[in-house]
Amino acid sequence: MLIKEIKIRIAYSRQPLVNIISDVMTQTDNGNSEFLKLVLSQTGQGMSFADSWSRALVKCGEMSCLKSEDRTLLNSFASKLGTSYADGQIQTCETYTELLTQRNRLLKEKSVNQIKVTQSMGALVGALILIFFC
Amino acid sequence: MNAYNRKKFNEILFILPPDIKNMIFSLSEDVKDSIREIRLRTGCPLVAVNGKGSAFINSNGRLTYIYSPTLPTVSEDEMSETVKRICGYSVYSHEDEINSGYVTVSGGHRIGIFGTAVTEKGKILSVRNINSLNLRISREIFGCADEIIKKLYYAKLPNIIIAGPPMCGKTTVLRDLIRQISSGNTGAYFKCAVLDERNEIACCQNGVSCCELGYNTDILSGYLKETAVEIAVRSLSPDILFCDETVTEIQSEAILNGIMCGVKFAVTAHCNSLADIFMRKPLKMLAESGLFDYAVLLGTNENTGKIIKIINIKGNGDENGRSDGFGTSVSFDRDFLRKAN
Repeated sequence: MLIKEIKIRIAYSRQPLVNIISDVMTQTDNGNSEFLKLVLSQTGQGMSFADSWSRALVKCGEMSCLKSEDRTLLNSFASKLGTSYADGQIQTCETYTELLTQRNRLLKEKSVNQIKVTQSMGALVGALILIFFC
Repeated sequence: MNAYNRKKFNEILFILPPDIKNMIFSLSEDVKDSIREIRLRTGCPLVAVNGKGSAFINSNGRLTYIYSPTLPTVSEDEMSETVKRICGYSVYSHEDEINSGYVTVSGGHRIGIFGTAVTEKGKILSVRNINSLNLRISREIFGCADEIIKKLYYAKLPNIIIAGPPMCGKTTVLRDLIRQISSGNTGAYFKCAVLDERNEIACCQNGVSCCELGYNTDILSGYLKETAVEIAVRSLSPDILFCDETVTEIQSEAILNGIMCGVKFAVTAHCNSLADIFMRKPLKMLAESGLFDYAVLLGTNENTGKIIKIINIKGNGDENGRSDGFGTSVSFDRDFLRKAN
């Protein structure tokens, strides 16, 4: 959703990144806003956007369940933000939306498989208990 | 350097990478005061341009007019980081400006950006491998237009051309002229409109002017001059329009049509001498139209911003096809007047 907002605003208004983040922050109520607040405040102190994003991710990542692969992907996205003309930025947003969607799908499949494995394990343990103790 | 201009100088340091920033910051206040441009080139030493010419900045925070291989140079990473900082980490937000060769940053400083152009059918699509930056320090000098106000604007609003070679202070003088006229220094709060095609006069950031332009001024930032004249005349009913760097005949034609709608103009133009005004076609159109009253030539080096000469260029002519005897006439665009009214 954040990437979609960034893509739309770059495509139609060419707003600077800091302004986009600030606007999105005021319009979103979810956990993104703490992360975005950190990004904005660090950028305002003179840090590069990519560095601000990366540090904010580390801080907020500790509180969430982001794995290192996820963080790498998100940092890679931030390193490309703002470094090319609008066409390139739109392509970047689309590419990373696709990559993150795939990652999300992969994680969901993994968790579904894990549930199945856990259920199977549970059924097996139950059967073993019945066999040996009953 | 007064506190205001010191603050403006420090603004430009903020966009530089730390090592380069520290080198420039450690220059003495007198030296900083004299610097008009800072040049960054990949693989080359830092250069500061002042009234005496170009000087290198050494690692001790001093200027030297003698090249040495031990002078610190600008690395590719530093160049890349500086470009990102100049664009506020949003290069896409400054596409058109970069393709035009410059970006205006907060504080009104214009930064020339140069590299390898990517072109298609003669049009610049983008610029890659940026390897050269020219940071022009913007300074407001309040009162630098005092002499022009006193000599030319006492109880009247003439049409004037402010001319001179590069770096003679045309834009700085124009800015002060706008401020004074808009602020009532000529006897009334005239409605002023600034046609700021390259965002060099007002240096707007997020829609707010970074420069003092008076209490009664409208700013058309980024509009093409020829379009802006028509829009301003139609929608703002200005008393006087200001524009910088008149370079094409189309722009000159639009300005002349604006004058014939009853609006006064103050424009600037690049030229080495007043004789050049009558040789370069766009300026010749203005000067020989009989509609402009004065041409003001500014000096350079120790005479930067000072008036070298004022000449009365107004000729006599009839209402419809003004000719001042030089053989050039301008036909009156009635369609323009109809649209304006």
